[in-house]
Amino acid sequence: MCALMLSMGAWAQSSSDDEFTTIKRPLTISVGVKGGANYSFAGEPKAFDLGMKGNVGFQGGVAVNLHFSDKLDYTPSGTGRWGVQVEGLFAQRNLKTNTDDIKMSCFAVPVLAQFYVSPSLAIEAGPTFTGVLSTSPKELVQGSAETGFLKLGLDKIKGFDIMATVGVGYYHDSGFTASARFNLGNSNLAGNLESKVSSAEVSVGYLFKIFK
Amino acid sequence: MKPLVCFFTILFFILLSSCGNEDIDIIDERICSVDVTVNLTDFFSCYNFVDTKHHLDLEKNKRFKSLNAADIYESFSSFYVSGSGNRVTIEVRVLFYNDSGQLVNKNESVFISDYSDRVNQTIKLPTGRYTAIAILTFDDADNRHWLLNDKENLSTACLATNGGSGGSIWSIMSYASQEVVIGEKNENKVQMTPAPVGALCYVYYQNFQENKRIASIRVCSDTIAQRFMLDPNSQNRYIIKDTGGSKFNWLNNMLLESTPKLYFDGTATYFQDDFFDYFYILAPRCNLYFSYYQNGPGRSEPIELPACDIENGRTYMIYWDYNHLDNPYFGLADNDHWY
Repeated sequence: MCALMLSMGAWAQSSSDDEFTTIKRPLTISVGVKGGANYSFAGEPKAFDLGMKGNVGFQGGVAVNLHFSDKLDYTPSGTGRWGVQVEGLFAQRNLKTNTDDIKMSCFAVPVLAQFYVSPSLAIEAGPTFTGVLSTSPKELVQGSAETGFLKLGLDKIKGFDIMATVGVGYYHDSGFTASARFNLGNSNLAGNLESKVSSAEVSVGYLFKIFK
Repeated sequence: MKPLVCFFTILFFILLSSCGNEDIDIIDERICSVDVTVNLTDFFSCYNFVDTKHHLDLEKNKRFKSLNAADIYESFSSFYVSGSGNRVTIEVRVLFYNDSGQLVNKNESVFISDYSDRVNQTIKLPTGRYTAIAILTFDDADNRHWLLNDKENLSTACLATNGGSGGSIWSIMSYASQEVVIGEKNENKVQMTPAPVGALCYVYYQNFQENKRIASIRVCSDTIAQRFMLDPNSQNRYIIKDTGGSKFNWLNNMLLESTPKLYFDGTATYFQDDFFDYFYILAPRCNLYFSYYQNGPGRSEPIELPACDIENGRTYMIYWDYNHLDNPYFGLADNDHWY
């Protein structure tokens, strides 16, 4: 995407009949911050009955938005139908079980294609690359002395996944943004813990146009 | 446009792929209740040969009411007394071996006094994979034919004959094995129907009273299996006794009645009308020999019977008529060979 962007240099078009020279660029680049809340949930592992339920968490980080122009000769820059947004986020995804709540501190890098249905509203879709940085508690213990204990070493969870993300985003000219997304988990938390984590999230943020 | 299409195509295939994450440490010590059912239907129903020619004189052979082994078994009860004078029960043994081949459940025997179709019991086991083994034998209290040896490890666990090789009508044995997975989310029901291992042999001798000096008749073999390995993956299930090539390892020894006493002192004479017995063959292939013992000359030279592959759960027959000493019969039991 960067190569695509860099290969398209800005150029100036002028009309000898106009008093003013209009400069058209192929895209607008915006950078900003965003943050919000998420609700994560996961399926019950095949071999265990942990009583998995969803729970609320949060996420926040930086975003880089590229909004392309449709036709360089008659549309202003950054007003086309297509765009791409790349983010670098820290996300806390939480789950409930029969005993302890599981808190997973994760990184998430969504790479989303945007289709603008109106100048401010876009449908977003693409992969989110994610992984677990740390987990609390380190060990999940269930059972009793009578029924025997089940101990899961959660500190070893890597949770690498490529989630399928789909959502909508609102981008105001002032720079204010808001988005709502659904991330579908694609990989099990661990080889012997067959459960995929999905989440729904809402965020608000602010983007500064740095190239237009 | 083309770079965009290419980009989205790559993204699509990335989405299709999933990451293989490493295993985490899991210690599963949960205990599950397992319902175990052992069906007895195939234990002895196959041993149903009936000798239609010879009728039992109840006065002479008080032990048995019928010449049909299946009838004898089915009518047994806690009041039934074997030849040794002991009450007979059916011993149902269930063993669970974990992935490491270690025996997990210790109390494995259930004794039932009256024949029934099935035995149910509940066993508590940790979650995991197991090899379940069920064994059915008749237990004659002080005169057991089968001993469960080296049972702590599946690779060494075996049923071994207790001293004597041929046993009796009560020596039949049935066995079943099954791989099971016990877990919190599983049904945890195990049902096994042990099938016969080994065969019964019905022996019938007639007209031997014509030689008053014959005191006993023996069936011998040089291929006697003394142990049956319980591991279903064991390459050698039958452990044959090392006889050093001797043909005189007896499976069955019939003593004729004598007067006044059964001593090989040359003074007794022996008589016995037609008489019969049962013994048990475990070896998958059997080489059998007859020999009889008489006062004076002693043991006869062994008379070889045709070698035979033994099918589990069948009734074989040995039939020997003194007037046809050179033509004994050994094969599947039927009523087509009587003289």
